[in-house]
Amino acid sequence: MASRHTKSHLALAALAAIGSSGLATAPTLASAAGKVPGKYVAGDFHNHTTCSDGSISMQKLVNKATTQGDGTFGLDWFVQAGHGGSGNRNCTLTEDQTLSTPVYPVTPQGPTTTWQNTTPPVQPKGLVSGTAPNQVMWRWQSIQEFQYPLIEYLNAFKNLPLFLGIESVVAGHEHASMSVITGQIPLSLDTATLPTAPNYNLNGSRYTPLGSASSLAQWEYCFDRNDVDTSRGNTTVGSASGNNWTCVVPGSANEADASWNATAQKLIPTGSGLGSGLGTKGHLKTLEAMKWMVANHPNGSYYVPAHLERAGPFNPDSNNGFNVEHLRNFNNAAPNVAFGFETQPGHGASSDRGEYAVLRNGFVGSATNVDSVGGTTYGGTGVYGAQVGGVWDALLGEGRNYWFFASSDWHNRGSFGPDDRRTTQDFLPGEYQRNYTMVRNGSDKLRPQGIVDGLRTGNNFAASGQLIDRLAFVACASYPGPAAKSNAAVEAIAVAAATHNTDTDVAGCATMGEKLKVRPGAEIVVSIVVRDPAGTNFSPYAFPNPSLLQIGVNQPINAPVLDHIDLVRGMVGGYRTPGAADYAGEWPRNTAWLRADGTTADLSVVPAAAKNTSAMVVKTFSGSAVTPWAAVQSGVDNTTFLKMTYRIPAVAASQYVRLRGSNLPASVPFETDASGNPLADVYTNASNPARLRIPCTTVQTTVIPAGAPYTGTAIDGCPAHLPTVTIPASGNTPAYTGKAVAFDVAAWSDLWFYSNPIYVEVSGSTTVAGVR
Amino acid sequence: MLPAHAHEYYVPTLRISHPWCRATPAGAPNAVVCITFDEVRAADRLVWVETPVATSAELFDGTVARPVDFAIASGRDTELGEAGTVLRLTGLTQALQLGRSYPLRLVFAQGGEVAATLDVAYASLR
Repeated sequence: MASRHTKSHLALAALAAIGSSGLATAPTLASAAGKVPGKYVAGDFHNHTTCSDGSISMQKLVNKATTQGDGTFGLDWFVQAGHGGSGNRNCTLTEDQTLSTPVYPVTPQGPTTTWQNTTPPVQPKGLVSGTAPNQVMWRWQSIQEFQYPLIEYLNAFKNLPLFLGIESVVAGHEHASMSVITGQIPLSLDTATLPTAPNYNLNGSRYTPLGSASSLAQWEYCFDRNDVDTSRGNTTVGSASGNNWTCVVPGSANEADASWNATAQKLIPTGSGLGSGLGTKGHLKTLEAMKWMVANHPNGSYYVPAHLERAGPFNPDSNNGFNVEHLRNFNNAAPNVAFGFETQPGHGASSDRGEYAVLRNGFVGSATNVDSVGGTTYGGTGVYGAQVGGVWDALLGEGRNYWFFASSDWHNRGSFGPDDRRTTQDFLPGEYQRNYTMVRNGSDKLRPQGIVDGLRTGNNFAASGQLIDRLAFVACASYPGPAAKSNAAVEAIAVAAATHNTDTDVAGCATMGEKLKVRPGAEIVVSIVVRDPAGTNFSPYAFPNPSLLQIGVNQPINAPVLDHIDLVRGMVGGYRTPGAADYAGEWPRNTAWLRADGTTADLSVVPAAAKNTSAMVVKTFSGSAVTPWAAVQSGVDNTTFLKMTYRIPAVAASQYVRLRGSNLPASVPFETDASGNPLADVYTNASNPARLRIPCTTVQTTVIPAGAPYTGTAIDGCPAHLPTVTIPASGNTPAYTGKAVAFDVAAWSDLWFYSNPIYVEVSGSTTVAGVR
Repeated sequence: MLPAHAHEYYVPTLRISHPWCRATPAGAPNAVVCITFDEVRAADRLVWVETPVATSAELFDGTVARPVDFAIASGRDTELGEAGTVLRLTGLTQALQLGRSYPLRLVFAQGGEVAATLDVAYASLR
């Protein structure tokens, strides 16, 4: 199954009152007033080219991510985002003729050519760093002068919603995916006549854009931790020729701040080592970055901490990770900007999934390294999002608008080339993880503003391995008497939404990122409709899923089947107060959480700030449950959807519901526990072969010639790059010597989706303040 | 000479930033590995380098090769680059192709070992 969204605009008709169980044709949906029509569109906002530390050009990456075809992944929208700081390679030089465009034709030089080695040479501006011909270019310059012109040109040339972001190196922390879209992709581009040849009179760029990414570039100069340029975005330090940026934030200390650098006109926190306070100073600078976005680009920005568990807990004296209080601080400072996190990281095929690892991080003040928070990922998701009742539920339990996102974090394919379908490092954007975002563009094309608005609303779900490609998640209020709603009625709303790839617009109902206001005693009717697409996904492996083979289930890796959906419910207790005992708290460190044997502690060791013990799975839906989900045929394209409903009785307090689902049942050895929670991914992380535990026994007979990339989709057995190990005997299971599940096979075998929440605000109970 | 901020690795004594090398043509026996050591909290020595794509590693000053034993002073950044004394993988088992990455195990006398990744970040000079 190559998931291909149709982009047809839908005419919505009157709602049919009653659906039915079993196979049935879905009714069409009435359009109520209020919401601009929209659809769920798949995208990625965190990925790298050679202008950062990626391995391919912008043109190749855009092609891989957005083209529909073999070896490309057909995303509906795409934000190209590399690290902040500096870099010395020219990512606008593409690899080969197939990627040529009239304005950016292929040249003899490829995307690892340095700026100064480019023909003709491109000279970096600002503070000189490095030596010719390998001097680095600050990212504000490469974004403003080179990457933005190219992305605008590609946007228009390909008629695709492309724009720029940054994976910022965060002061006080690690990384965050962000953008300022002001100036990017102007409306005038719609009717512009593109040039048909390069303009060689420009300084290395080939195209004069109609818009600009100067606001994004300014943000990068001002606030990225790795941008230590002091030129104010000018030709040289001390010159007045150029951008002349100043990074003042209204209402802040600015020049009076001890970290203020007068030459650079920005905060540059200094200090190192124990007692330096570098991490704290950095966090305060990052809050200034939020405030700057709020003041200058309140509706055109987003800020989403990336792989936020990876660098360990927060360190007041260095730059490590994020604790829950930092996420609260961000959301408090900028609720319309800092509205979520990438707790499902990229690097999905790495030897440490997500690049989360035990003892990964240096940590000032500690004699030993510290783990990534949680030690590893859990079914590919960090502990903050994966642990029911953990950090994400703590934030949702306050009623915050803080949403779950995923990303590819594409850099390279490890020991394979970029065109190979195998990987020991990263997946390409759209290949494995997808964000499906509700973008309300009506009959207009997709634009950056609509995409950012969609992300901000939280009407978004993330799925790996194309486990699902449609979701309608609806909650409606039901009261005794004439206002009662039947399961069938609410299901019909959800079926209509899912089959039309849109959401609901019905009074008395809400969907992801929204809140349902109800009176005490209301019954909440929660309906879920998903599509587990038929056919194969983008995995190149056609052999039986080795994780499932452990329990006697023979299912091709590239044709996953949704096993179950969990409905998680948590109570809302209101925003916590900064400085209160339950506002701040570090997740248990190292073996206090992830033990040496791969098991974990429980929420009893987690501080109050970082947990919400009211959160729990209240219902599991599957095809084999006592009340199984039911199949329904779409009236739009005749594909099969699954529908299910749960009633929450007599609500008395504000709460939320959210979903997760997997292809793996409960109690899959080394994958899921008896409750269906994902186990630590240490058992499939090749960095420690002694800990690998899942045999991969299907013998490969597919012939893959050495030296050429494998571009097919039907490898019939465990590939050569899987480690060969000896797994000790355990219980009745004899010792095993042979290939073990790791790298991309591990990721393709272990699939999850996560929805964002629906809030229920009960009058007289806690206000869900984060959602209007 | 580093691409924009990239992968960092840690031992308790220091940080290792983005090991990289150039692509090698088929049949090339050696590859120079570039690494920056910074945030050095205590003096240390790089004493072992291992990767599946080479049979061994050595330090080479242009004339003489010697085993890997590289001093890293406390309190300042130290770089192994493409000039002067270089860190060289020898006995390459395959061509190192542009855009790929390979496991690189580094061992430090004080800090212990770390599993890093070697990025083939630039085309060959020839």
